[in-house]
Amino acid sequence: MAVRFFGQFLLENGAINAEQLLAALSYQEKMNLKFGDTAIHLDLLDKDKLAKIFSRQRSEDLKTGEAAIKLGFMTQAQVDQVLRAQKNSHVMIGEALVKTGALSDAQLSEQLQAFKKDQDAYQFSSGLPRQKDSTGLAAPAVDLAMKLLMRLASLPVKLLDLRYSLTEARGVTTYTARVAFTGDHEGEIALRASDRLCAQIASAMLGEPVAPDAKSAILDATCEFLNVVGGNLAAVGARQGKKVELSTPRSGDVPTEGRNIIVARLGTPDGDIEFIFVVGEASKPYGR
Amino acid sequence: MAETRTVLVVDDSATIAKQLSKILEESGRYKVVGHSRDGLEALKAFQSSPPDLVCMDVVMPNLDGVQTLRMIRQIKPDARVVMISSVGGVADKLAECLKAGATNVISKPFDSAKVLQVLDSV
Repeated sequence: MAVRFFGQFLLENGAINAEQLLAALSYQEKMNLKFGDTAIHLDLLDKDKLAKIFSRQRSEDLKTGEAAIKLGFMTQAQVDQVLRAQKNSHVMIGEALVKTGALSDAQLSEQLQAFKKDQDAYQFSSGLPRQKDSTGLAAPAVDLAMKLLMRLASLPVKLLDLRYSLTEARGVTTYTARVAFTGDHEGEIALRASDRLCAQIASAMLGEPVAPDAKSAILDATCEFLNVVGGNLAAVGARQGKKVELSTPRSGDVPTEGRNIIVARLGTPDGDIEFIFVVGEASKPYGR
Repeated sequence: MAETRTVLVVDDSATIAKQLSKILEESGRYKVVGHSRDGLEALKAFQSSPPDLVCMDVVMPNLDGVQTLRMIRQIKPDARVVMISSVGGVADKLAECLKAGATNVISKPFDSAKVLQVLDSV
């Protein structure tokens, strides 16, 4: 069970095959106009201006809407108009599968119901204040970490509190597992807990006992746990139109300077786990 | 009795390799013939003795899963490769895997029933 793209849910369950999904994705690509083409269609840009936007994007990491505003070709209101038009005319993957003959309307309806049931477990309900979550990713990250700790490590966890700085762990031996992410935002997710608790997570993941001093096995298992959280977070990000790619963190400690930090303290019967979300850059709300 | 199929597991995580191997071996239908920790190791293992199936992660050091998949398909165009990834929920990543020739993509976290259901069908 994971946060999934509907097409992958169908593929994994054998409702469609890889060729059918590729055909539907290709249909979607043809039908769903990109930001620039939509803006031209709405007479808000012309081809010359779009070429200048592309040229600017080669030297600066900007989305098309951002570049159009920077170059004075569009106003924020016009960018919003294009984004709304893109959203309203968007062909969803289910519709594309029906149009390309992979599913009937009745099959689509049945599969959508099954998909909704599958994904209900991943509806997010974190108590993280919105103003503290500038990227919109921290709340789902905390929630995913809690759900996956219960699911993968069989640990009953409870959110004790949220903190906005990282303090040094004292008194007990701890392990810190980390996974970095890039894309529309750059940052890290990390998990810090006592050696005993980390060994418990690793044991549950591996299905065999792991001693608290088996550092390599513990870090591998807890990093894999974070990879699963991160991968599912990428799927949540994709639903919000955000690109999240996982990568290897830089060596050293969790970076904190110039970053927004959220530490969710999760209580378990065997001690607390700190789930750490660190992010640098601010949100980029414009379409590519 | 059905024939046992050979599987090469490719994942930089020893945890995932162990989990997968356990599921596959315990089913009695699969024999794990190797565990490669990145794409380069996987290519060597595949070339020396092509297995019936490859189960491979997407995000890996040195040579990632999608690049490795393309190379495996160059060596053996009908190779059966199932990607096992935490990023299967991202449509672009999924499309990249399928275009490169993946037979299916399983999301992490997975359970034994799902893994066997998918592998039995390919």
